[in-house]
Amino acid sequence: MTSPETLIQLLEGRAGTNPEGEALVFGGEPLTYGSLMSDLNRVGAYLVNTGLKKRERVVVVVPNGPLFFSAFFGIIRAGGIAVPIFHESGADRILAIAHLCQANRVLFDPGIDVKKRQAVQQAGLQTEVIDHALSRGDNAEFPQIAADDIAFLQYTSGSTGNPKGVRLSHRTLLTNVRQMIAGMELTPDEVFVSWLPVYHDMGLILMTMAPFYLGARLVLLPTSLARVGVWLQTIQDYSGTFTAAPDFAYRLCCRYIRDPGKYDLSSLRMALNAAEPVREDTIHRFQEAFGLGPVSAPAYGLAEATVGVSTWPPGTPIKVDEHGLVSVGKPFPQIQLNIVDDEGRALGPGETGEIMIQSPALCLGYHDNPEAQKALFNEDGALHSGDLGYLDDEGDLFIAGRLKNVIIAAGRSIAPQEVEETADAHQEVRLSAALGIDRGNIQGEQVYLFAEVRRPSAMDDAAMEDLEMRIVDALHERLGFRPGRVYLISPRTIPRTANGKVQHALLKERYLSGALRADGLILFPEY
Amino acid sequence: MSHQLSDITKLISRQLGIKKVAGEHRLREDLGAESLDIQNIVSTIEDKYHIAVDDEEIVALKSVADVHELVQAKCRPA
Repeated sequence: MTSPETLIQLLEGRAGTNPEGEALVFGGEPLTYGSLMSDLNRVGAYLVNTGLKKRERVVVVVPNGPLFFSAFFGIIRAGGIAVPIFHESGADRILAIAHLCQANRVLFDPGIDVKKRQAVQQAGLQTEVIDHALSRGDNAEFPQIAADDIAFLQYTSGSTGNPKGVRLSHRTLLTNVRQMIAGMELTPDEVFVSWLPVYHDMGLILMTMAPFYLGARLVLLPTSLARVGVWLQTIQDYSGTFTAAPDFAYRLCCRYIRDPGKYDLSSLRMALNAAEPVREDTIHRFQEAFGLGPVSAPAYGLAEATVGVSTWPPGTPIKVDEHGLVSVGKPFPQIQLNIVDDEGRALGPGETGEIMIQSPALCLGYHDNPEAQKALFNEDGALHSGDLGYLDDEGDLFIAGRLKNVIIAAGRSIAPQEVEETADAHQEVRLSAALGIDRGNIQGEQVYLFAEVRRPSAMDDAAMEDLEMRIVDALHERLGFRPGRVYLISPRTIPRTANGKVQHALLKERYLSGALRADGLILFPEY
Repeated sequence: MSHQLSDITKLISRQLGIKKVAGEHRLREDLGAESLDIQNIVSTIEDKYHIAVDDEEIVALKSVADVHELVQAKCRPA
């Protein structure tokens, strides 16, 4: 196959040369390239025939499974721009994203909650259930798609306010896929096993587009860590060679699997560990428990560089510095890293500063957000990663922290502002601040929410309990996660700058030092 | 000890953002708790009751009543 220039060409090529070839297996059922192509053509035709315009954004709310790909690629086929989001997003989250990207349509899974769909419709958006689009689609004249057309927007938690839509073209996506394939020495003989969510960068680009590109086998699982054994059993059953997850998932394997000897993971060549700070202890424990050689590969990436930036070649033992930081290896081919101080001056080996990235696979910026877009690149076109790190004498990268105020919980990036907006919407809450707290336990960094109550004297314990419960429920409904802890605190406890900006770092210091508790500022709970 | 069970149901109710929590509810199947949520419940209980829960004990937690029994066993004077 000649090198495809667009995702559609890639899939057409696979379907043309090998229609019976398996694109993926989900729930034990194979989906062939022929079926995938015919399904995405039908969804695409339905969209074109119902008036979708070129470059029109369409929000996709579909969980892991074949229907996701019909929806995602169907939109792209029809000349639109796909906007995949977390499938359990609440109605207000769906509407917020649709508003940010000016989408008029939302594609849902057949299992969508009727009330959620109605709420989205009542706000004036057109909603479609994907199997309906599939059954109604016929033939259509599809628009031409070019390599530099935007294929999808990856919404990511920004550090200031609203989520930002990272613009990814066919060219940037396929370039990064090639970079990762070369850097990790991936081959068509690979068997990918993934439970990572397909709406998000690592789960979508690395774990589905790379196997499609290679024509390698992909075994896809529902997104859930409720039973980590399912993941391991699937690696065993399908002789998986390549998998990827945040450190947290490997920590769970070490903790929850009582009899690791029961699983034969000897087929595994590479277990990528990314999207969360990598712990040395996790890697040793995981490899030891399952009797594996050096398969764990600490890696680094971010949505603004499409996804993958660096890792180790397969089979490399991990490298740890004197502070216990685990190196995430060398950049993929054609990617150049520079470390700079806060005035943009280049720093030498061993010196910590912001990681700047040069790559042909950098994103095309943010959708409709010129201010954030401007701050994203320097005058040489290098990307500000917002992460802190250093390169050692051998050019290996170590991640030391982050400049951006983002909480990373179990591999998910969460903007404190989104959490705070959700909490502040409760009338009893005066002001709130969300912090990332890592107490060194298995959970790793978790969201700790501090909410000032307006009138403490007006609330008894039952009212405080009820408020906490409603805040957690709202966060789960809107953002799909639950915080590690919610504290209700006295008014005017959250430190702010003269112009009103919440000082997260200062609040964190006061919490961790025990000062908040000692000063009686934590009203509820008492522990 | 019904008093203590209500403490546990309230704590889990707040941690999961679910109003009605009862002893017979299963954490995962009935309350939709993910592994991470269960770990966070355990951390909160450790702080509240000044106890330490080890890995094996966490794995055995299936229901709200299991959490209650664990706390009772740990808090019982030796």
